Order: sequence, then structure tokens, then C-alpha cells
Amino acid sequence: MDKKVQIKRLIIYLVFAFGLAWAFEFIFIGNGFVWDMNDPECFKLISLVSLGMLTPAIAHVIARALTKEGFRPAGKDSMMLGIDLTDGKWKLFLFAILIPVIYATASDALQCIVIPGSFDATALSKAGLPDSMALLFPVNAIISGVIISFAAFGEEFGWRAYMMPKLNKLMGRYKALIVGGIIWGLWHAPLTCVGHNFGTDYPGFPYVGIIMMCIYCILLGTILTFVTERTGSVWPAAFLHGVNNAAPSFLAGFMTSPAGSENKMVAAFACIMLPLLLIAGLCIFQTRKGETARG
Amino acid sequence: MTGLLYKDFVSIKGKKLTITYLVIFAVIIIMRLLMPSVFLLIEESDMEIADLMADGLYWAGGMLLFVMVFGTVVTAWPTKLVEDDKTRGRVIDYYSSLPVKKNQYIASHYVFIGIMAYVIFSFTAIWYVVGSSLSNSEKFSPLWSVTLPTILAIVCFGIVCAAIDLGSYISLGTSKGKVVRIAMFMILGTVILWYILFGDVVNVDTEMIVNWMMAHQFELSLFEMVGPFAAVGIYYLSYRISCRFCDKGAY
Repeated sequence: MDKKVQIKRLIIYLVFAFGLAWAFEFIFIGNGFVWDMNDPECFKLISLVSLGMLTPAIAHVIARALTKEGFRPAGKDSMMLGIDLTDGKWKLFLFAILIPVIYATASDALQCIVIPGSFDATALSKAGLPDSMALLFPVNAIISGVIISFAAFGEEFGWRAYMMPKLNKLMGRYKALIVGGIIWGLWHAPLTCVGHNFGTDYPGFPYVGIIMMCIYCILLGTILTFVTERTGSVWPAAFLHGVNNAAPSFLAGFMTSPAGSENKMVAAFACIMLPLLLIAGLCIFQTRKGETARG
Repeated sequence: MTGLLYKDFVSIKGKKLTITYLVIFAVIIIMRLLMPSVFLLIEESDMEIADLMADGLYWAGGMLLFVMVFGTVVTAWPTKLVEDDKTRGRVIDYYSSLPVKKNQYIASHYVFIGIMAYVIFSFTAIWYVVGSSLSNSEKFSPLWSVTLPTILAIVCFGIVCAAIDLGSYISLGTSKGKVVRIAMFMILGTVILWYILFGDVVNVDTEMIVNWMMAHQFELSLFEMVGPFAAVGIYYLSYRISCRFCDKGAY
């Protein structure tokens, strides 16, 4: 009985999360929108299209209202809106805010090795800025990621605070992480098809991009689920996601796109997988350790 | 904590007006999304002027609503939250009768105002994203580029004001808190009066202000980074001071 209810709630949530986001995105895509940073008209619309990130939160609220699940803000089976910094949980908040800086910098360093020409030591001085500005990039990313975290909150409030607990109950933690990551990756598919993250000029477009996005979402989703479960709150995941989207690497100011590198976007994106895999592995290890300690 | 926050939400006066403002805010955003300047063409056939009018109305309306809502929340609500408990003695009676610690009671007020500031800022950020993305008037693009830093500066200033208000009302009591509040407004009023009397109010050059902001983008960016840190730091310091004075028997 409980399983049926969980499945029903999950389906309602997914229908609205996908339906609302895709409908919103298809309005722009239908009018010729492509995810191209070099086109001023499209660039202007990117942040507007990104408001689609709020749809999982709307779907969460709709699903709770339709299935009469209640709107408990904190505690068991809640919306996970509470903030509890006791028992060392503040460390997880700090971890959530700082970890994107570590893996983004590691990813850029890896990219410099894998893709020659993607690092330009003079990039900042060419732009008339001192090299010390590179130190401000992560600080800026952290602050803007936390302050303007409402969009990231929109996604996390849906995926981490609603979908993942349901999937956990239905199929267990590890299967849920994979299935949840794939669902989250597929949710990005319309934007991946118009160039989000990978551009449009790469072998196997757009299927390779969608698959890459699913793998990325499984890995990042593991870390986000870890901080959400450990704190019982959606906020650290929202902050992590917000900082992650703000490109918080120390090397960000020196990274360039080498000529004709459109099809290297996939390779560049693959560079983030290794550090993410390591951190996701550590999160799983910590979770298992916690479970073993509790017996 | 959730219960205390709920108590704060229920007891606060003026929330219906604030919610109404937020609904109007949402309607303006939706209207801009659905009708990008086309509805103005009924009266105005020049597309450029129509775009300018649409941008102007949207920008001015949004900023006005933001200032009204945020102003109410950070200037009136902190004191109302504490005044709701009437006197210093009754505050102690009130929280000592609850199954919560004194610090939790104090924290709930700070968290409540913090949540409200975050919600209003997020709302305004959505308004900004929609407005700047759909803006077709080139004359408005410099204004949009300085809008978000300005909003952030107002939010930081508001948080500092709320920190002073809450800190003085909780740690000094309602009557002394009122004195601090009046002193704060008098300083602000003196500065404004001084500007009205001695400043060149009639010939305010908005273009010059925008140009100055454009020329000092680096400083503004730095302020954008340091400002929120400083404001949250002051807010937290105010909370710690409030807790300490309560602990030392200030009541």
C-alpha cells in the first residue's frame, strides 16, 4: 500500500517537474533559442531560461498538495527546510560551500593537462586585470552562489527534498542514486540538445551529451544527497549547487577555449568527472561507515 | 525553532499587506513575460518608445515594490516582533514558559527576518532576471547593469538596520530600544535634511550617477563581494550580543 502511494506521489512529481520545465524551455527553443554564449541575443536569454530551475520546486509543492502529503517544514517526511547547525552539522554546510571550489579547480588543472592550449597564463593581464584577481573568482562564486541560490534551491527542493527520499524508500540508497541521477540528467535534455554545457558540435550530438549529463548528475547527485541526508536540510545542497553553477575554480580566469575546440567541450566536461567520482566515493564511504557504526 | 518561526509569522502585523505587494510583484513579472511591450503599441506605434515605456514601467514598478516591501520588513518587523511581547518582564515570562532555550527564542527572531530578507531578495532577483533578459531598449541596459548591485547594497543596509533594531530591542529592552531606533532615524534624517538643504536636489544628474557606477564597476564588484559578508557578520554579532546581555541578566 505504502509503495503504491510512494509511486503515485513520485509520478505526479515527475510529470509536473518535467512538464513545466520542458514546456517553459520549448517556448524559447521553438523561437530559435540556442545555448550560445557568443550570440548576444541568446546570451541575454540564458538567465531567463535558467528560471526553469524553479520548476522542480513548484512540482514538489503541487505533488504535496495533490496527494495531501502535508507541508511539514522540518523533520521526518518533511520538506527539509529546517536548518540545524548543532552536532557538528555546520561542518557539512561549510563542506557544501567549499567543496565545489576544490573539484572545480582540480577539474581545470586536469583539463590543462588533457587539452593543451586550454590554459593561458596571460589571460587576466590581457584583460587588464592583475593575476591576483584569480583569487577573487572562487570568493565571488561562493558569495554569489549562496546569495543567489534561489534557482539552485528550486532544483534541490524538488530533486533532493522530494524525489530522492521517495526513490530511497522504493529501491534502496544505491539504486536510487543512479536512477535519480539519470532522471535529473534527462530533465536537462532539451537544453543539452541546444548546446548547454557541451555546445552542439561534437561526435554523437546530442546523445553523447545527454549520457554525459546523466553520469555527471549521478556523481554530483550523490554528493548533494549525502549533504542533504546528513543535515536533514535541503539548504546545504542548494548552496553547493549554487556555488557549483558559479564556476568557482581558482583557475577560472586563466582557462580559454582553444581554436576549433567546440568538440573538445565533451572532453573538458569529462575532466570534472574524476574529481567528482573521488568525492562521491568518499561520500558513499562515509555513509556506509555511519551505517556500520549505527549497526 | 519551526514552532517559534511559525509564532513569529502568525503574530507579525502587516503581513497581509506584504503578501499583497508580493502578489502584485508576481503579476508584474508574469505580465512582462507574457506581454513584452506589445500591449503598449495600442497607443504607441513607435516600437522604440514602446520598449522604453515597457522597460521604464517595469523597472520603476519593481523597484518601488521592492523598496516598500523590504523597507517594511527590515524597519518595522524586527521591532514589532519584540514589541509583541510588550514589556521586558513579560518577554522573560513568555520564553521561560516555553520548552525552548533563551538563545533559541532570540535566534528565531533573527532567523525570521533573515528568511524574509532572503525571500524578498530572491523575488527581486527573479524580477531582475526577467526584466534584464527581455529588455529591448538600449537606453536601459546601463541601468540594468547597476540594478542588481544596488539592490544588494540596499539589502545589506537593511540587514544592518535590522541587526541594530533587534539587538537594541532584545538586549536593552523596548523603551531603550526605541531610543536607539529614534537616534538611528535622526542620524539618517539629518543626513537627508543636510542633503536637501545644501545639496543640489533640483539638478540631480541621474546620467552622472549611472556613469559613475559604470566607471567604478570594480569597486562596486568588490563591495558586492565584501558587503554581504560584512552585513551577515554584523547580523550575527548582534545576535551574539543579544544572547550575552540576556545571559548576564540585562533583563
